[in-house]
Amino acid sequence: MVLLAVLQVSRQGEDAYGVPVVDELERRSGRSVARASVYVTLRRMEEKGLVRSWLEEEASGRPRRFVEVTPRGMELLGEGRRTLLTMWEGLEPLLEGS
Amino acid sequence: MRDGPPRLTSALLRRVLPPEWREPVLRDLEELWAGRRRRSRLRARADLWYIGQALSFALRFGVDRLALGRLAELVPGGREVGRAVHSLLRSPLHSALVVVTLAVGVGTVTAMYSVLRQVVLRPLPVERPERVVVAWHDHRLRDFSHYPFNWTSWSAAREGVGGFEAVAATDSWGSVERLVGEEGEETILRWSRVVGDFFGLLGVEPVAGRTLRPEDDVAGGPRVAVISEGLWERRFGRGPSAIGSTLRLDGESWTVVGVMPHDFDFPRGTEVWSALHPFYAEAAGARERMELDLIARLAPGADIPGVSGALGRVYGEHPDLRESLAGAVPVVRPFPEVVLGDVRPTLLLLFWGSMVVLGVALANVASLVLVRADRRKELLAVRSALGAGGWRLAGEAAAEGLVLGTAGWLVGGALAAAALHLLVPLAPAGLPRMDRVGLPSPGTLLATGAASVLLLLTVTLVPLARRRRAPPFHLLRGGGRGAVASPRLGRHAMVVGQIALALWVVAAGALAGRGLRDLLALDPGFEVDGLVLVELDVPHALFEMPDDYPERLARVGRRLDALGGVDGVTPVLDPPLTGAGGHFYTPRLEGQSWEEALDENPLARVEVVQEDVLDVLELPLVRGRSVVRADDAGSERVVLVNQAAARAFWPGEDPLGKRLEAPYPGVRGEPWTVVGVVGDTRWESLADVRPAVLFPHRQLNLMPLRHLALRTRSGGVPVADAVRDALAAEAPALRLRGVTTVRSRMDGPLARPRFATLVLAVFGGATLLLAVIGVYGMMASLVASRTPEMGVRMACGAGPGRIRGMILGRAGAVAAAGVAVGLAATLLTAGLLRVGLPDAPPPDLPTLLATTLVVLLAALGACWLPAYRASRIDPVRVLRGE
Repeated sequence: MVLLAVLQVSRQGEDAYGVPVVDELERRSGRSVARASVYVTLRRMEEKGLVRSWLEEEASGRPRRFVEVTPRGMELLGEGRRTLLTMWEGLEPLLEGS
Repeated sequence: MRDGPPRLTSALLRRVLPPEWREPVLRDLEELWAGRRRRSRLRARADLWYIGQALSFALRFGVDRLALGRLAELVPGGREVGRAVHSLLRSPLHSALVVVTLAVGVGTVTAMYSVLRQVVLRPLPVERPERVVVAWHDHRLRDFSHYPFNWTSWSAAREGVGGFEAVAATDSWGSVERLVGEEGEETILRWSRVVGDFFGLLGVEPVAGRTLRPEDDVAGGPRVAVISEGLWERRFGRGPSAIGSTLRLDGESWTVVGVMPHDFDFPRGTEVWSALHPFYAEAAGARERMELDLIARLAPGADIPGVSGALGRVYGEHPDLRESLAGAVPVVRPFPEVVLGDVRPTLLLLFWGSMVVLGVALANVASLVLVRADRRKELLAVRSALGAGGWRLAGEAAAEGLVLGTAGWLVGGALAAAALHLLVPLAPAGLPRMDRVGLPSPGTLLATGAASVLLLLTVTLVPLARRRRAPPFHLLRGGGRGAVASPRLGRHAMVVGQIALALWVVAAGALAGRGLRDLLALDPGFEVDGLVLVELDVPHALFEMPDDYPERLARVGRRLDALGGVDGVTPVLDPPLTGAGGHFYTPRLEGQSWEEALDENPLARVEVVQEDVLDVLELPLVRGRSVVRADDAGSERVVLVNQAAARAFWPGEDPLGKRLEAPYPGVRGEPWTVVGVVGDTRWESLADVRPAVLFPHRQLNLMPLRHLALRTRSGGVPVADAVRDALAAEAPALRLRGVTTVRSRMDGPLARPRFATLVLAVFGGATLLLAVIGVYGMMASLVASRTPEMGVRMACGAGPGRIRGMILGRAGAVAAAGVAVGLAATLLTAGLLRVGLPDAPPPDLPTLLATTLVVLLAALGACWLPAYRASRIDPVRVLRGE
């Protein structure tokens, strides 16, 4: 989910960092998200090579840490999507009927 | 005015975050804080949000930093546990409530069981203690509930009661403080004297050397003693040199022949045991003065009612005892009951009370876990639809139960250890076996740990098992709604019960606190501040009081009076606030026979005084005159009485000039004339004022006055050396035992009510916390189960205020019912409270109102969060879900 949110922020032409990623997650999922969990997840995904991050110093003083999805992360997202779509095959009428 | 989020929080967060994320996280949080600060009028709201975020970051990064997740991969089931930890951290309020609730229940039971185990359940170091009895008499006619055996009645009991297999005795007053050691190096030790084969009868084994034998109990015989393990440790470092060493008492040497085990504490507090007869040169002298409690081992087949009856028959047939013990009822008690006193029922009651607290806690935990299960039903349905197997979901639920149970148990164990560490040292000195109460035992912790985890596993798995019956697509359609039923009657009744219990305990605590405050505010009738008490050691030989004893004491007093800062000195017979342990007698009034006097007159406290007594104690003289120096052996015998005595003995009459008689050797038959009335005092106990008769020391010189009361200006006058010098000059046979202030003695009678208030405050806090969590759980469950209904109501125009009102109204009704039941229970059990808390006043309106207010506010406070959540329901989302 966090990986998708990073991608969504980047797609909108913004640089992705903690605050917009959390906002995106909350907006799209419709529920509140524990902010700290998102930061911890970003850190872990970087360790696994799914995102990469860099610091940018700004005039205001403190640096910001930006993230972007790596090719390996993109590959994993693609795999996940394919699995999900395969799993949903033929089940849509069930939901529509409800 | 500072600008920026709370600095201390930022500093703490900085320490926890990993270096590469430290500055970026702080920057993001500060920016968000600034946004909130701009939108809100209250700075505190933004600060609170910041603190909450900081805690969340600290917790999650902390867990991540410990690499628990990676460690979990290596342990079987570790992955599930790791996932459970993360999942629970996502609902910090819920997890904290479950852990705290469980911890309160487990902690209370663990602490209470630890005390019960050490004090009541731990076996006594005595062979078959239930077959040993201790006996004395209830002599109503003489107003003595603990009337001792003398040599004649003890011998008659030993020889005449067939139900006794073996008979021994101790001094009836138990262990006595005695000044032991060479002059100038004395220490106070508690000494008990025993008669017959005391240790053989009890079957208690020494840890070193030997015990006392019947042949040691001979007048003029070898002076040998055994010491307690505590004294052995303190004085001899458990070394072998203790055996054969000597204890100096009243100029005589007593050889230590053995050490008794730590657990053996009878008579209570004893540090040295010796036989009684060797204190006297001749057996007759010893036997004349004996006041004993009989100790016996019952013969096979004998029982307590049987030996009590046999004792009565023996007295009836004995020519000397028939009269003196007429009307005396033998009191025969099992040894364990005498050793434990009234602590056993109190501790058992407290233990069962703690089990009730645990029961309430467990019910609340179950309720909280079910609420969470209901909130997560959709998530589980999605995972189930995506292929997560039943076993996998069960494994995860079990892991959550395991994590919560373990956390609750650990926190509960820590709470119990902390409570024992803090409360046990504050226990009143008179409670038996408290010195061995320490940390909870591994067995206790293991049992509570297993119970906690088992319970949490059960309550986390049950909702899952119920849900398995429904197929996932049914749940996805919303058919799983209400997996947790709306709170029904049983649930409401449980919360009502919790509130009632909390109110009862809080009310009891408040009443105990009021009783304590009343005791502290009591006027003892004499000026406590600045009164210093010097305790003297009067050698045994002085029991035959020398004629010049009053004059010598007066001269010691005059020397001390000359010290700077001392405003007066007077000897007193009994120190203040000793409870029932003073000198009492029944006076015979003019015109009464002794039988009538014993029958009609209440016991009066005996005080023996010198001429300075009123000035030194600051006692008011109500009528007549005080004692003067001329009231000596050659003049008319006079007494002072207090107002309570005047009311009791001569109601409605003028006490001045009335006469009474004292039953003491040498003065029996002589009338004493009342010449003055003094104010009432609470001298022997703060609880009540008793009649008192004050005899001039120079006219009644029969008892050793062991205390000097000094009126000082500051209370902190260093007088010990001056007392030693004065004694050396005026009364070399006396020695200084110790110096205390009367203010410090007030702590003795206050210890029990103070401890009761403390224990009730802890219990009250625990039950109130549980009631608050119970109300929260019930209302959260209500909101969870009725979210769709509330969404529809809001869509139809109901505002957030109305929804909040609906929730608060429901909670208010339950709280009111709980308060009503609690108030009724408090009033109905007022008698029980009176027995358990003798110093507390009966329930009164202000206390009950204050308690009700506290409980109601706590209950309504508990449903604020569910009500707030309910008022924020998004009707559009709810309707879409429908």
